[in-house]
Amino acid sequence: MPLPLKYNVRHVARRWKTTSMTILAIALVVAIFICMLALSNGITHAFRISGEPRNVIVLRSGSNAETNSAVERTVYDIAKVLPGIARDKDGNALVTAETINIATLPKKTGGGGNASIRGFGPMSMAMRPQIKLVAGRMPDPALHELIVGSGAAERFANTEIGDEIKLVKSKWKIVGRFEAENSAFSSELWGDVDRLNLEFDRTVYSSLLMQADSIEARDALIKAFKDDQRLSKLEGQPEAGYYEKQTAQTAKPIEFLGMLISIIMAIGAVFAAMNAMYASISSRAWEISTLRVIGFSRFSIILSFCLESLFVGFIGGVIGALLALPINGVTTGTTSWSTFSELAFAFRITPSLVLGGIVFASLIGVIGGFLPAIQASRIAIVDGLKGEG
Amino acid sequence: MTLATYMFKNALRNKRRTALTAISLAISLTVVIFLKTILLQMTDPPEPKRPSARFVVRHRVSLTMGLPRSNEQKIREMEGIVDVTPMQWFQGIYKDEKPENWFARFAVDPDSFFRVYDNLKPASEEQFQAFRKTRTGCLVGRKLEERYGFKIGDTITIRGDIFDANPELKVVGFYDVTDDQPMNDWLVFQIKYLDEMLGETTRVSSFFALADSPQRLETLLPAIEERFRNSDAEVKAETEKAFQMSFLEMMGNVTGLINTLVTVVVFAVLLIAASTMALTIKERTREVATLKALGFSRGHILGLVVGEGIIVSTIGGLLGIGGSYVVLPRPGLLAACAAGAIVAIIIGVLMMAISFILEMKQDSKVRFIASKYGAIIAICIGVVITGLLVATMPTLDWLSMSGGYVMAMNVRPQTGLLGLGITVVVGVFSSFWPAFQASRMSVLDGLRKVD
Repeated sequence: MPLPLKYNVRHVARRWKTTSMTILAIALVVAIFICMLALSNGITHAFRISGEPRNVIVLRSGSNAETNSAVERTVYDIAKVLPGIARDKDGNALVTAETINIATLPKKTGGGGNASIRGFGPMSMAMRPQIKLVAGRMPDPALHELIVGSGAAERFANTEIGDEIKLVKSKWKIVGRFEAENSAFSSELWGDVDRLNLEFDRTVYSSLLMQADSIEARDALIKAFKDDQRLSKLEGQPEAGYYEKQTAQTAKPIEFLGMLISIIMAIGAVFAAMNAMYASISSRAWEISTLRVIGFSRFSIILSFCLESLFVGFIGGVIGALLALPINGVTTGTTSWSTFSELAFAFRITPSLVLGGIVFASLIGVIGGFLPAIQASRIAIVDGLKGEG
Repeated sequence: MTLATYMFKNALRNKRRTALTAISLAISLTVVIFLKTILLQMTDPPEPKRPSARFVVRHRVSLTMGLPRSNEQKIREMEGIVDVTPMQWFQGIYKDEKPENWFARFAVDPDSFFRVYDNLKPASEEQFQAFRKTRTGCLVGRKLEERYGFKIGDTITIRGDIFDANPELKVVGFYDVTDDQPMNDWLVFQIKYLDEMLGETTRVSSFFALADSPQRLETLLPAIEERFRNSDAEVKAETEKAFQMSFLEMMGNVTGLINTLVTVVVFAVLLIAASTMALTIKERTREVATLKALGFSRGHILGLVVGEGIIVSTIGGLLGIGGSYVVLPRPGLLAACAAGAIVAIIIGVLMMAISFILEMKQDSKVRFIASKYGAIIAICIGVVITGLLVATMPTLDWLSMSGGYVMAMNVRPQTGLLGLGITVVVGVFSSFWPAFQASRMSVLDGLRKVD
């Protein structure tokens, strides 16, 4: 017969002074765990553009990022008439040529950062429904005007509507601000593609974005690029997949560091839990013997103490999650090495991450309680009752 | 018995508890030292033996925009310049995109390259001449030779990503880094070969140059920026160190992240140690009361308890700091130790379980062995496994394990000192409150207390 849980809860409450320190130590470990994973979560999220799945991005084969790619102007005209290209209600082909340029802009925190400046065409916004202009207006293609993503606006100085920033030769006016669900796009500044090409002295585009009629047409489109002689130097791939591939290099090291530190610190926390349980058990020898005499089996003693320790770990996990929670949504930035530009992202605590943290803490508790629980079950009844435990 | 012996005996009285506390402190200190070492390595690379007069000239707008090659001559003509060399970051992919196959590749001009990088020396004059004369030749840094086992005559194919070119390079020799600059092991090949593949004289991402003295840079750097102002490629000139630091800055607030982690870890270990000390003193309430009854003063009691805390933390601290010095520079050993420890813990728990189950079945002989020698058997097996792994495992290095972020882990003296500081702080602070309470307790209450 198992011991009632109430017994354990009451015990934890009775020795709250010493238990609270163990709980807090576990809570800190869990807070580190959640924060580090929230960091890598945020980066991963930034590369999940939640965009139109029928979009295909075309790059020069061999280049793994828009920054390194080059697409000739003539390709744009070939692509527009490929079979399977979607059209808007006015009959325009949903194809756009874009460029990515990197410029060092002053950051709000001081120093300079590499900003992605995207040159976009008339169809670009229509093909990315997740991007929304939230203030100001779209840039006039005939003027030196830019709109700024919400992430970039938060990181770079002089990016309010009405401000001017110098790129290569001339000053560009900020006329609007857009949001892109915290994806990588929101770290960019957008302007007219041909005007930006003049500014950056370039004659070729970085990439071509096409929207297919359907998912099947998308795959056919990618294949068409492979087979067409005129397009042999180019390669198409789903836009969403292209962004997701960039996650690894930026998010993986942080995830690695976070897991490493959490696991090592968890060992320390297990030892703390163990000490607390051993002490608690040795002061309860008399009580445990009594329980045995009443008829509780050794197994139910073990179970009961493991549960008690799990309970301590669980509370630690909950407090740790609460400690970590305020960091959710805090934005920070790093450099995405594949595009060599600033990526703004927000710490992202998901329900599953909180749950993971609490499970992690409960595990710390159970593992820390296991050996003491076995010892508790082995207390000789006679000795225990004599009060010599 | 002196008071010191009394403290020692007390500290070691509950050996299991002391061991657990000390080990968790040791583990946490290893984490702190690990983090601080990474941070120092990135923010404070070893100073070159002589102050460097080397600097970088690049496009003002960003590194991705190239500078015309004709700038080389214009920079060379400026006052105070010893030499200039064009360097183009080629990047590319060697074998695959895994981090362990990532290393820096540059297209360079052989003659001026080694004049500007006066800390790099080709392994021999013949190899240098071979590099100059072989159109597709390349030289590799000594550390890359060790890591990838490149041999003279090998062909290395790099698939271009930034450039639409896939150079097939012949290894003609090696070069040594004569000071301990950590980031100078590259693959370098002739920029003429790159031009040839691309069919044009390519622009370059940067010019590295040497001034006649480090003091000269103060006036020279602004002068160079001024020289190219309003040209079609305005430049930024900065010292080599500032250039390297700009990459660290790009990674975001690494310093803040690591320092926060260190603070939280220290705080956690303080709590762990404090909870143990509180338990210990609570169990000894009657003893403390007895001591007081015998005439020990409050100060004595305070000192005895804090001293005991310091002894426990010192055991853990020395274990952690010593362990870090031995294990952190050797990731292979670290991994082997971790694996060994995990196996030992699993076997230990199994032994406990066996002895527990058999106890119920009254099978005395096996149970006796399992419960008496279980821990020893577990530890022995753990040690053997660690040894086997160390002997058989391929060499691991931090560079590939961390995805290219951590070069090597050499614990510096100041990091060790920090560890020592934390040890003392943890020792004093964890025991002070319980000690204070014990010293204030009245003799009567203490003696009356039945735990």
